[in-house]
Amino acid sequence: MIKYFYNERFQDIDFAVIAILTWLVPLFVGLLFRRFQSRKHRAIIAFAGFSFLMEHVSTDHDLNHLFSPDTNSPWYHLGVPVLFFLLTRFYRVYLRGSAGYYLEWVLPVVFSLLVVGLAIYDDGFYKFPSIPVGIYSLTGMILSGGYFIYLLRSLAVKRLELDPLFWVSTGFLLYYSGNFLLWLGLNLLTYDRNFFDSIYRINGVLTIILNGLFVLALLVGKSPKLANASTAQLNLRQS
Amino acid sequence: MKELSGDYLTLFLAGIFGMILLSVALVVFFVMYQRRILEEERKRVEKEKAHQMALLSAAVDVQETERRRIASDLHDDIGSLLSATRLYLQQLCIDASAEKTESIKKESLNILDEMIQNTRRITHDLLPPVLEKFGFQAAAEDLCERIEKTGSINVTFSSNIEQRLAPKQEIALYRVLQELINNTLKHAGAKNITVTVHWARDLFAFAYQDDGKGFDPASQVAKGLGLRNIESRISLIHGNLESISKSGEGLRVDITLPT
Repeated sequence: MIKYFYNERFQDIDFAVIAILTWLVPLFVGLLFRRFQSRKHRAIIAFAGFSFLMEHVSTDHDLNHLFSPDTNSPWYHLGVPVLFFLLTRFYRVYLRGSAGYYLEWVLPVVFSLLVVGLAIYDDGFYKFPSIPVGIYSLTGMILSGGYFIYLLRSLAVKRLELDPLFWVSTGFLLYYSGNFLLWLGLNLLTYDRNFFDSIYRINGVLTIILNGLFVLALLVGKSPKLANASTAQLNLRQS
Repeated sequence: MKELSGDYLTLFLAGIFGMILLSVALVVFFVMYQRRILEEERKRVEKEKAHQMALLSAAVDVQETERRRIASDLHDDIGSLLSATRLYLQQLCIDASAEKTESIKKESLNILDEMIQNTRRITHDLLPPVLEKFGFQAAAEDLCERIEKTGSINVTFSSNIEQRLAPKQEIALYRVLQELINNTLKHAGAKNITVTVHWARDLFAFAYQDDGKGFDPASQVAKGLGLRNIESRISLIHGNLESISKSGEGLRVDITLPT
């Protein structure tokens, strides 16, 4: 069954392109529904926007010929720390509340130093940064799982389906847990380009799911503008 | 370059799908568990609300009972004596004999003395002067002595406190003690009562015990024994109350107050 998946079943579908394009969907939905007032919504748009940019740049052949040897790995060395930083922005409030005020800044800085350190002293700049990306996905799993624990402990959200961060965290948990081993073992899979492309469709499917959940997160709940308006009306009625 | 192929590759892919399944299971578990917790929380809040309502109702009942008692005291003790005085004074007239006038005056003064005593007793019941002047410890000791003197029951009082509580706390505790003694005398058929008050670090501790017939705390009898009133009073002064009673094993009430 697994062999089917990576060898034949989806041979004709270019999941990589579809997956990259799906990063644009949250951006369009955000623009269309003007979801910029909420911090959570802005974080989704920033994450999707930067992910699209990074995926586009890393798959663009013209840009990849910039490096010698010919590889897109340097883009990941540069982009993953930014993605890591954007990831921690989702969990600012929860990180401040549970793990200290500076953690939201300390984590990305430490991670960036780690990426630079490993690039210099370990695998080099021209090899896919498996370990940092593995740590990045592990952090994503921990933060999204931690958010669930935070919700259980604080009972801050009564209706999960109306909490954007619930959908975002569900998406992240699926995305990072599915990609964790894939990214860690990526350097062991690139010996056959066709084979790698077919197996990397897992990442494409997970990206599509994540962006679907991002869209859901952007659409659920009232926009802050509407919420403020209804609160103001209520206050007026009460006064 | 190292390669991942064959069985290792299948294992690798199984690991990936295993992790995806695990994360799906985690999300499902979280949603279900969160719903369960919220349901439990909702039930707890409802129970708490019902309890608060019961305490509020008990507080209102206490107030009404107290008003009825005061009205009854005024009507029976003061009202009747005032009527009697009026009757005596009506008999006074200019042509009445000096002897009769003297007799009316004497009777009227006797009735007025009785009225003064009754008024003193009523006000003492409402707010004992000793409570106001010397605090809960002295008032409780005084109350215990007065009950002991009736000879119907042995009351032992012990205390190691010197400093006073807040006025609200003192009044509430005194009312609680009155209510407990009243319950014991009316319903328990006890021979001994022990009252202990002491300080334990930052806590004021009050313990009441009788060796009466006790009761089942869950029964309707228990609810009618004024325990809810007591709980209501203690709750108002942010105290903690624990009562232990079983049929045939007397009653023990422990109250602690933060100071």
